[in-house]
Amino acid sequence: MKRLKLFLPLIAFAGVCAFLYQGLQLEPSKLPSALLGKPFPEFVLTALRDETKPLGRGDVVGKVALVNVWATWCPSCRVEHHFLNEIVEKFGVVIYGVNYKDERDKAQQWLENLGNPYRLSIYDDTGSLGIDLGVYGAPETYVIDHNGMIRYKHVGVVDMRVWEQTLQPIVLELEAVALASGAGMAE
Amino acid sequence: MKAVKRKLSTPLRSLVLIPLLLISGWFSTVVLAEIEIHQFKDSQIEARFLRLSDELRCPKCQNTNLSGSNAPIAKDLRDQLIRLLKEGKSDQQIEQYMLDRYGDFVLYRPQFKQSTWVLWLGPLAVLLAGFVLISRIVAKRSVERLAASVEDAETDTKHPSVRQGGSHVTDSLSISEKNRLDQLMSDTSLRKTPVDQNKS
Repeated sequence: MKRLKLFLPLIAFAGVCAFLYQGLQLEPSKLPSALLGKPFPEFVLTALRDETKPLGRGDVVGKVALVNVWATWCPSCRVEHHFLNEIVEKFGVVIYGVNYKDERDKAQQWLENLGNPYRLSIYDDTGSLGIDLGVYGAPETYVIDHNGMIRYKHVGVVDMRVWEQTLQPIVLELEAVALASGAGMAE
Repeated sequence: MKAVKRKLSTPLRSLVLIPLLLISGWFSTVVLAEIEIHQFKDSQIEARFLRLSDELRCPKCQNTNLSGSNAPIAKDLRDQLIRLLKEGKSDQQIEQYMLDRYGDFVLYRPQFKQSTWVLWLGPLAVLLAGFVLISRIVAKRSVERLAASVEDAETDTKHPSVRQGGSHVTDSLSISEKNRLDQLMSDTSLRKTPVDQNKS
């Protein structure tokens, strides 16, 4: 018993080391989203391609989908863009785009040049939808279920690895749930 | 005020004016960045804005508050803060608004709840554990010291009365021994050179 007590400081030290080492593995810039499990926020904005066309929550809710927040001023978005094109082409995923604090002309030009992976593009000029979504930097990608609930948030570039390892399993699972709960909503 | 101005000589005036100009030039950029602040008509709302923007954390910049950050998102959130204040939202409602969107991270002093109680009580628990540990060590040491002194007394003395365990040594002395002790104590020649009774 006494000999065991001698090792107590060493054990405590090892515990602190393990705790701090684990801290090293964490990415402090990736915040957990406060919106997981909450409904996609209401919004009143316009379509990127047509400023007279109003868009609202009803336009993006109804099926399992990704919501991608992007802007032309964001270099990582350019990196990400062709992956989004590829994902839509290969897997037929629905992606809604939120053009975040951008210029309409530039954004339209971007989609023309690089291809348009988005089912719909929402033009969020002031970043109001961004604030309601808890966006703090582009690109960010949300997964919403068929009820319009936010199920996952990915901060940073979506590439094939992120898609295959993280997003696709979530999407597939949510689609299975949507099918099971009555295919009416899931199209 | 005018009298003071007239008294200043030209070199002295430039000495005052040049730094003033430099400072005003520097402030003009600050004012541009924080132009919203100057639109407050209500000083109470302004005070609340300053307090909240100090208290809320910029989600993009890890360790800067909203008032101290020039990140675009911090600017947006400051604007939103002003909007909410003008709508008449309470401080608590505003904090909840930010919390709903950006999570616990956004508050420098997170709310006390299931996921944050360790954060609040952890340091206190460590402090208490430290106190308990130290007091136990101190208590143990004083017991050890007491035991050691009793042991010393037992081994050093040849007097049988101590071995009997009496706390008051004089109680267990016989009458003849007491008389001898009194005699020794009253002996002035011994008093001048006090000698440890045990060793004599």
